[in-house]
Amino acid sequence: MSNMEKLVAIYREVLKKPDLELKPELTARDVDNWDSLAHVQIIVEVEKKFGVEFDLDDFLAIRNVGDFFKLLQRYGVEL
Amino acid sequence: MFNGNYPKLQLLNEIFIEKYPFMGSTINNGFTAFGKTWAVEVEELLAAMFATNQQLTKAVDGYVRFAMDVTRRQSRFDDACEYPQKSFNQVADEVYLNDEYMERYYLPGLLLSHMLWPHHYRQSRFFTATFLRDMEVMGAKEFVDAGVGTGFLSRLTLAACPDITGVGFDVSPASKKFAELQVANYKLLDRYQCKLLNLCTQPTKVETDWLISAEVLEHLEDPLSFLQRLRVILRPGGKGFITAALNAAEIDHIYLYRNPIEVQDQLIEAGFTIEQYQSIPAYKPRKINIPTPEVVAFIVT
Amino acid sequence: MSNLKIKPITNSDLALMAKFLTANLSAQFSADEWEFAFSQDWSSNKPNNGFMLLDGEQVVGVVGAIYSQQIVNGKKVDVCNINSWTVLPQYRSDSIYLLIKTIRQPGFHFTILTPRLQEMEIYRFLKFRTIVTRMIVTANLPWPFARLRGVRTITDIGALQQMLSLKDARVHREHTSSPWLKHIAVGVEGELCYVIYQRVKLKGLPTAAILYVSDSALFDKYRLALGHALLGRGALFMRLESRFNTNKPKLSLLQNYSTPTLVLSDLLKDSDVQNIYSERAALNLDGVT
Repeated sequence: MSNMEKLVAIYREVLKKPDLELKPELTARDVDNWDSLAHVQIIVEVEKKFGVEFDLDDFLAIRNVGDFFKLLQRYGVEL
Repeated sequence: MFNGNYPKLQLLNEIFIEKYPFMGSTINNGFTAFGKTWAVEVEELLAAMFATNQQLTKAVDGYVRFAMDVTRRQSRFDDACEYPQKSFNQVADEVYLNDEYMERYYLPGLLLSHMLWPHHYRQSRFFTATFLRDMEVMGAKEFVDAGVGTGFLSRLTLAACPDITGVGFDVSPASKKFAELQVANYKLLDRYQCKLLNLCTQPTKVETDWLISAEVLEHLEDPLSFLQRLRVILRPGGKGFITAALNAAEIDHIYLYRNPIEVQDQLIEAGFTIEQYQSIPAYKPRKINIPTPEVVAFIVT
Repeated sequence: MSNLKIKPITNSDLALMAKFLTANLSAQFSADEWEFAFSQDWSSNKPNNGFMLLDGEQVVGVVGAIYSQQIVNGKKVDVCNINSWTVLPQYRSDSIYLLIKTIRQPGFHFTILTPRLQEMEIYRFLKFRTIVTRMIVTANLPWPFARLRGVRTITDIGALQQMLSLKDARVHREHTSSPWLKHIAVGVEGELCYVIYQRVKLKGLPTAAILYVSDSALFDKYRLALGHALLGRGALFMRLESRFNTNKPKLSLLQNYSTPTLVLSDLLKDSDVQNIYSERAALNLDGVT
């Protein structure tokens, strides 16, 4: 499974949307289950899966999925 | 969608939606659940504490960081079911004595959580419906708030009882300043004093018939000793409002209470009797065997 | 009824029901408060929380039901307290079906404690019996002899649980989640009168409105001690429905009670119909705590 596939699986699982497509412009506004708890669950699952730990300010700056891709790359995760 | 003339609340809603979309439903959810009373209270609080748009935006940034930090720690707690080992002094250095952290994140975060977190808001309603109402009916003349935090309950008390005077204690200079600011912004400071004091270690001769100590116990290494000090501060026949957070993995929570009985047992061991209590979960349990954060409040004599 | 359907209100419908009641019955209570009122765990036989009338997916009417298992004369009785009957004006012709659906549930005894006067004819048509009651209002006076006579006043939760009869300990346990209800027991060990009251204002004066009395004879016996204890808690008067205690003490007033109590049961006597286990306990109806 590629890193991108792992990431998609996390989003789908946490947001309970098995068909979710992870486009860079996707935001919490577009998905009804995406509240603050889900947001943190995504972050925590990603941290566990990719062995990274984000600075709180970094993940608060995420506005959409594209921002998260960039952040992951900054933390050394190849997508 | 909430409606009505609430300009500050409207702005708060817009900031959430624009800047923090994952919190975009916070205000609508609050309005749907708690209605106009809630909206009026939030509007007043925001107007009193964050008068300019810049102040409000800064407070929201602090709140979101505070809330996300709590949520992240809670997610980790779900696996470990233990708080990370910390001493009170470590937490004091990291949090209570760290003015920047307190002023930017902790205090605005905690203050807004009193209104925006349903379990915190329900607890403040319980406080108003029970303890504060008792104070009004009995014509309370003075009170002590042991561990003022943001000064939220002190302010509610001063506002509800026009003849009362109050003394608050806290270990954090930033808390003292923030509590005084809140009380002053509601024009109540002439009846209130806030003092820097660690009630666990420093002696005091203060006594009262009306004692408030909200969300302090879980911040301590030895809450039972603190409760024993509170028992001495509360005069016989007096009444206390004492709360604790359970299974809530926040940055400064040291003592893990897993259920309300553990708090109740300590209260009784310290010499209190319990008249009323309310325990409120933060949300419906998400999974079996994962403890849900909860707040529990006791009316004691 | 062609496009309409009636559906039982399940626990997962409660938020929807609560929102409807706030919008259409009383905004005095927030949706959170309505939801709390129907979330009580007073019966293991709770089949629903009432019924709702739906037009398509849209809620257009509800009738709330609060179920409880009460001990009446030593027997467990299933009681269904009906309340909050609210239907949007254009659907009123179908509103009675909500009530009929509710009272057709077998095995329950039905009570209505807060009917609107304009609905009385419908309730009579459905064979509800009206309980005539009045309010006895008594001044609470200092009575310093309580201690001398060994009469105790108990408000401590732990002590109440230990010292009350099994039946009353259960009543107490099941009513501690409503913060506006106050619990007090007076008497001597083995002979305690347990009372649940709520603070209300009567002509602007703080009054203890008594919702529950465990024993009417003990209430008479310890009335002065209770009055003393309530005075010490800021209540200048106590108010009790005459059906719970027919003895009218000296220096008391009788008030007419404007809200009738209705019952549909071949078992429950007037004094068996409780104000607890109902919206009177689950909602802060008087708005004063």
